[in-house]
Amino acid sequence: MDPKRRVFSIGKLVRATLWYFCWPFIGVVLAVAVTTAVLVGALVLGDSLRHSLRHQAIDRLGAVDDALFPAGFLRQDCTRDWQEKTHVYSQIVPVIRVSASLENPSGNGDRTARANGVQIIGCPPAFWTLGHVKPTRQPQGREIVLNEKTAELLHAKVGDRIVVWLPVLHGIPAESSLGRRADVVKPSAAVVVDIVTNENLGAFQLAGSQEIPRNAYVDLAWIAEEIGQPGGANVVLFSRKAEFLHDTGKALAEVAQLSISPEDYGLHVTRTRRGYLFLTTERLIFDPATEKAVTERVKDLKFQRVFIYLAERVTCPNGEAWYATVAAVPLVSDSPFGPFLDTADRPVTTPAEDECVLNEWMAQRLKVKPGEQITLTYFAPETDGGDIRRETAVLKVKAIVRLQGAAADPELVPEVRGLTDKKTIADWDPPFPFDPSRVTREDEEYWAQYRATPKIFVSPEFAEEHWASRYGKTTGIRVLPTNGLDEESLRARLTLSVGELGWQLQPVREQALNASQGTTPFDVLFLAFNLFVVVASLLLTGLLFVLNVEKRANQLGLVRAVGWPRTRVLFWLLGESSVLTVVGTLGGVLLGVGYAKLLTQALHTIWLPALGVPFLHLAVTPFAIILGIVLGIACSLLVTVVMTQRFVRFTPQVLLMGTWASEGMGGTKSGREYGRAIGILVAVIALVGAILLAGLGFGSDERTQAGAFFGSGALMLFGLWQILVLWFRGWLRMKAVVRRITGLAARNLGRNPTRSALSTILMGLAVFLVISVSSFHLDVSDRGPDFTSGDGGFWLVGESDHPIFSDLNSVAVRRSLGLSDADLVEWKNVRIYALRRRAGEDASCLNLYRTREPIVLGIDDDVIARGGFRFTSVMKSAENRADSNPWELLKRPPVIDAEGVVHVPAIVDDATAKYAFQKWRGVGENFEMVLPTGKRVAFQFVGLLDNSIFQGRILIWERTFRELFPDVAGYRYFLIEIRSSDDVRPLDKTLVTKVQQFLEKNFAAEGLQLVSTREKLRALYAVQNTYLSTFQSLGGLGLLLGTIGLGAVVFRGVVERQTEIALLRAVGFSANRVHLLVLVENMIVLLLGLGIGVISSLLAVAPQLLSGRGHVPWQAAITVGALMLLIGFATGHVAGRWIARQQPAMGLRRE
Amino acid sequence: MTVLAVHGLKKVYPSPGQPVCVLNNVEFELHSGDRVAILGPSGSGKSTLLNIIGGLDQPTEGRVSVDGQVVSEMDETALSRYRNRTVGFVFQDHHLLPQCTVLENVLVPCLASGAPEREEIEWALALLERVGLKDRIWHRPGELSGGERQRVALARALIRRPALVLADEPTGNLDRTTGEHVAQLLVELHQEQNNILIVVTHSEHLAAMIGKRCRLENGQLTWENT
Repeated sequence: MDPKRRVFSIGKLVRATLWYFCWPFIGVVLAVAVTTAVLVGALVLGDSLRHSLRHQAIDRLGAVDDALFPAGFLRQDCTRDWQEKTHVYSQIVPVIRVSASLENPSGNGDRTARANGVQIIGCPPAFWTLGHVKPTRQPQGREIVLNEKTAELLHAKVGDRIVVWLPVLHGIPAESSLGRRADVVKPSAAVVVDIVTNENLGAFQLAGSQEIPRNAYVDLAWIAEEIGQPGGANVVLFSRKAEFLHDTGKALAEVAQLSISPEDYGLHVTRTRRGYLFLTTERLIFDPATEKAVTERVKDLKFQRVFIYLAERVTCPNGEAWYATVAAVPLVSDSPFGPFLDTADRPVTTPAEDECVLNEWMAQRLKVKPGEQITLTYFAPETDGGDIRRETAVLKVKAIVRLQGAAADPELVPEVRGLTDKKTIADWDPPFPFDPSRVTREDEEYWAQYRATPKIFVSPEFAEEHWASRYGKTTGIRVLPTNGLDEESLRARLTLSVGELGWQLQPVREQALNASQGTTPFDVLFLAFNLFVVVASLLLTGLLFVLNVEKRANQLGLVRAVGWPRTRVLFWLLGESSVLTVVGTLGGVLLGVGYAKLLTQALHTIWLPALGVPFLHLAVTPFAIILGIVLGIACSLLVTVVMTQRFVRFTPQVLLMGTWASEGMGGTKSGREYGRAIGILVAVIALVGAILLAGLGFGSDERTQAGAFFGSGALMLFGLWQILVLWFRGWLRMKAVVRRITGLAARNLGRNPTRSALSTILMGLAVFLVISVSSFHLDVSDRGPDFTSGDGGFWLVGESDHPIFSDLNSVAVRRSLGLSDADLVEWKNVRIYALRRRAGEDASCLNLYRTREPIVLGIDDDVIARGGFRFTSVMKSAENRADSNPWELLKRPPVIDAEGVVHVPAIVDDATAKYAFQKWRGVGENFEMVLPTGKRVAFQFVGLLDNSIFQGRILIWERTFRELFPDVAGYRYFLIEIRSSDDVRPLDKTLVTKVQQFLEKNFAAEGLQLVSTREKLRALYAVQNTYLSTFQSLGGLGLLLGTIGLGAVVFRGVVERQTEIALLRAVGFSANRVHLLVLVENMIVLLLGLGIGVISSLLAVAPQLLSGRGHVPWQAAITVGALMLLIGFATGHVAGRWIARQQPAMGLRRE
Repeated sequence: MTVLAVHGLKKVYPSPGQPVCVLNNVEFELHSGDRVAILGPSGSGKSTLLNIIGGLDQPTEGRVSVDGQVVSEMDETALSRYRNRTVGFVFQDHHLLPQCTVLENVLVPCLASGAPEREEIEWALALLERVGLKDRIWHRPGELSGGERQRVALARALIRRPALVLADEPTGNLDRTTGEHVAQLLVELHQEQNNILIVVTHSEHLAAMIGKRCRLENGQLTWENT
C-alpha cells in the first residue's frame, strides 16, 4: 500500500476513532435509537389514529356521500323522480332511521336480554348496494337483521324472535295540545334472519364515533307502516358518481334544486264543496318554514290563513257548551270564502281581537245575544312537558251568523285522527282530557249534521296571540281558484325545491373526514407522554457521548496543543456524533415502528379506556418516518454538541493534564468565583421564576395552569441543577478534614460536578414527572354524591330512546306505575329531574371524532334554581355576582347578530369546551352549529363545569331549547336525586338500586337506561386517568433509562478511579469499605434526585392542590422513591462489588 | 534565523494561602541552532515555563516573543497557528491517538487546517525512517514499545518543521537505554533541522547530552557553564 496515496483526513480520523472506541459508542447509538424510536413511535401512532378514524368513518358510510334529513317525513316515491333527474348521483336511497330498544325474551336463558339505543334502519334493497357487507337474506315484512354488536347484547341468533319497541310517530307535534303523548312506543315482533359483521354497512353510521353502533335493519315498507308513516322516509342517502366525488358544491346545488310535490312534504290540496282550494298539512299545524314557502308560492292569488282551535268549554251566565271548534279566519262577503250573514242577512265582518262571532246553534245553546260576553276555556297550545294547562279568554259577542253558506263549512277543520274521523263525539279518542258526560244530545246531533263545523269565529289576531306556538299558527290555507286554477295546477305551483323548504343536504362523507381529524392529536399527546423518555434518552445520549469524550480528553488536549483550532476540534466531535446519530436514528426508525405497534397493543389492552374500543390499525407514513428521523438527528446532535462543547473550551494544558474535571472552566480563583457568582445568579433567577410561574397558576384556567406546571417545574429543576453543580464543586473544595466515608464520597462526587449534577437531575426529573402527574389523577368520591362536585349531588343519571312525558315526581304517576303506599313514603325524597335532549354526537372524551352536532340538553327552571356542580369559570357580568347561581346565566335572552346567527347562552364541561370544541379561552367563546334547517346557532359559553357528568353535552335553558328545537318533544335525560329521610341517618343505598330497577323496568319500552353518577364519572375520568397512567408508564421507561445513565456514570466513575481505589485498598481499606464508598456515592445522588423531584413536583402542582383539584399522591411518591432507592442500591452494589473485587496491584500498575 | 526572547516572565499561581510564584523575572534569548536543557526540582516551574513558551499557558507578567511576535498577545486563532506552525511539542506521555496508525499520528498536526499534503506525507515518512520506524508505519501505538511511541511523538513534533521544539521530560517514562536512544535522536534531529530545542528534565544525563543547561529554582533561572 502506497502511504502517499492514502489520504489522512478528519473523516478518516472520525472513522478510526469510531472503530477503535466502538464498544463505548454502541451505547450512544442505542440511546439515539431510543430517542428516534420514541419520536417515530409517537408520530406513527398519531398518524395511525387519524388513519384508523378516517378508515372507520368512511367504511361505515359505505358508498354514501351525502344525506338529507327532511323536517319530519317525506314520501319515498319522490326520490324515484330525483334518481331520474340527477346528474351528480348514481344512487338515491330513502331510509327510515329511528332509535329504539330491542328485547330478546329468550336471550338470557329465562330472562330477557335488552339493548337500548339501537339504530333501526328501515332500508329498501337498494340500501345494500351501497356497501360490501350485506345480509344473506334481506329483511322483508316482520324480519330483522342485526349487526354483531346488537346480536351480542341481545344474545340473539338467527331465528330468534325479537321485540322492537318502535316509536309511533303521529303527525301532530306531541307537545301541542292535540298531540299524543301516550302510547308513543309500541312493540313489534320481528324474526332475526341474519347477523352481519360490525363493519361497512354492518356498522352504518352517519355521526362520528369509534364505538361500534348498535344497528338493526328492517324492511322499509314494514317499519313505515309500523311507525305510522306509510310510504314515508326520514333520511335520504345519496351516493355520488365518481366524477363528482370531490365536488360538494355541485352536489349541494343540485339537491337544493330537487323538487318535492306537496304530497311529498305532507301537504294536502283539496277542492272543497264551497269551491275554494284548501291546503292542509299532516302535522295539523303548518310549520313556519313550510307556511312561508307555500304562501310565497300563492302570494299572487287570493288566499286566507285559517287557524282552527278547540275550546274545551264555552260559558256565559245562561249556559255552557263543551268541546266547540273555533275558527280564526277573516270573515269576508265574497264567495266562496264568504259570506257570513247574520240573522238579518247582513254580512258580518271579522271580529275585533276581543270579540267573537257565534253561529246560530251556539248562540241558542248559550242563550247569548250580540254585545254579551262569553268565556272560552281552552288548552294552552303547548303542554308543559306533557301536562295540559287550561287558559281562558273573555270575548264579547259581536254577531250571530246563520249556520249556512261559508259559516257552515266543516271542511275548514283539518282532519284529526281520533276526532274528525269518528261518527259520534262519544267515539272520540282525543289526546287531551275528555269527559264524555259533558257531551249532550244536541252536541251529537250537531256533530251528525255539521261534523266539526266551527261554532265560534275569532279574529286571526286573537288566535295568534293565544294559540300560536313554536309549532306554527296556521292549520289551513284556502286559495281562491281564479283563472282556471285547479287542484292539479295548484299542486304544480306548490311543488317546492329542497332549498325552498330549508332542508340542508349534509355532505356526510366530507364531514366524516373532517371529524376523523379527531379532537385529540395523538402524536402531540404521545410526544408529550414520551417527553420524559425523549429527555432521558437524550441526556443518556449526551452522557454516554461525554463519557467517551472525557475518556479521550487528552487527545483533545493533544490536538489543541499541536495547533488545532477549537472549531476543528468541534468539527471532529461533531463528525463522530453525526455518524453515531445517523446510525442510531436509522436503527431507531425500525424500533420506532415496533414501539408504535407496542403502544397500539397497549391502547387495545391496558390503556383501552383512552380509546373506548380497540380499533387502531398501524399506519406507517413516510411523513412520520421522515419527521422522526429529522427530529431524532437534530435533537441528538444538539445534545451532543451542547454537552461536549465545554471540552473544546478547556485549555490544551488542562486537557492534557486531565484536570478538566476539577478545574472547571477557569483554573484561576477569580475565574472560579466569577463562575460561581454566575451560577448562583442563574439559579436564583430560575428559582424565583419557578415560584412566580407557580403563582401564576393559582386561580387561572386549566391551560395556564398546565403551562405554569411545566414551566415552574422545569425552572425549578434547572435552578436546583445549577445549585447542585455549585454544591458538588464546593464539596471538592471543602476545607474540613474528611473524617467519614460520606465525606470522601461527597468529595468524589465533587470531582465531576456537572456529571454528578446531571445524574441527580435525571433522577429528579423522573420523580418530578411521576409524582406530579399522579396528583392530577381523578378519583370519584366514595362518600356518595356531592352537591358541589361533578355529580351535582345526583345519584343516578340516564337517557331514554323515546320521550317520556309523565311527571315522575307526581304521586299519582308513581302510584299508577305500581308503587305501593309504603313505597311512596320511601320514595318521598326521590326527586327526578327530567330534561329535554336533542340527539347528536357525543362530544365527551369518550369520542375521538371531532363533533359537529353535539347532544344538547334543555335545563329547566327547577334544575337552574337547584344549582349545584362545580364551575371552573363563569362569565362575569353585572347580574352575576360571586354568590349568585351561575346556572341563572342560562336565562339570558338569545341574541341574533347581523348575520342571523342566534347566540345562545350555554354551559358545558370545561374539558368539552377545551378539548372537544377546541375553545381554549373557555368562557365567552362560541361553538357554532348549523341546524338541518340551515339555521346557525352559536352556543356562547357562560360557564364551564369542572369534571362533570355533563361532559360532551351542551346545556341551554329549556325555554330556549324549545324555540331552537320545536320538534324535539318530551324528556329523554334524567337526573335523580335521592336524599335520606332525615339529615341524621345515612341514605339506604338499596333505595338507589331499587329506584334504578323500578324506573328501568317501567320505562323499558322507552329504552330508559340509568347509571350511577359515580359509574358515569368513573367512565369519563378513566380516559384522563388512562392518559396519566400512560404518561407515568412512559415516565417509568424514562426512569429506567435514567437508571441506565446513572449506572453508566457510576461504572465510569469507578473505572476512572481504579488507581486511587487500588491505592485505598493498598493503604488498608477493606473490599467492603470500598464497596460501601461506591454505594454511598450512589445513594447521595439518588437521595438528592428524590428530594429535588419531590420539591419540584410539589411546587408545580401547588396551584392544583390548593384549588382542591389535585391531591398529594403519597402512594406514587413512596413507590417511586422506593423503586429508585432499590435501583440505585442495586447499581451501586454491582459497581462497588466489581471494583472491590479488583486486585489492588492491577490498579496501581496502571499508575 | 529564529529568535526566541523571554523577558521578565513571571507566573504566579493563586493558592488558598500565599500565592505561589513559580517563575520570577525569567529572561533569556535563544537563536536557531540553540538547544538548552532546563533542570530543576519538581514543582520548580519547568513545565510551566515550557507551556508558556509553547502558548499553552499565559504568563502573569512578562512576555515571550518569537521573531518579534509576542505569544501572550496572540488571539486564539493566532495562538493555534503558532502552536501548529512554529512549535513542536514532545511530552513525557507520548499522547498518541490509539485509534490511528503510526503514520497518521505523525500527521495529526497537519489536520489542523485540512488534510495533509503529499509533501507532508513524504516528510512524515522521511521522519519515521529517520527515527527508525519505517517498517512500523501501519502499526498502532498499542503495538509499539515505549521507546518507539516516544519516537513517533518526536516525529509528530517535527512534522511541521517547527522553529521551536519543546520537550517536557521526553525520556521520563523510558528506561535508561531507550531514553538515551531517544535523547540522541532528539539531538541529531535538532542538528539536522537547526531549530531551537528546549528540553525540560530532571535527568542530569539527558541534560548533559543536550549541552547548554540552566537551572530553575525558586522561580529564578540560572545558567550553568558546561
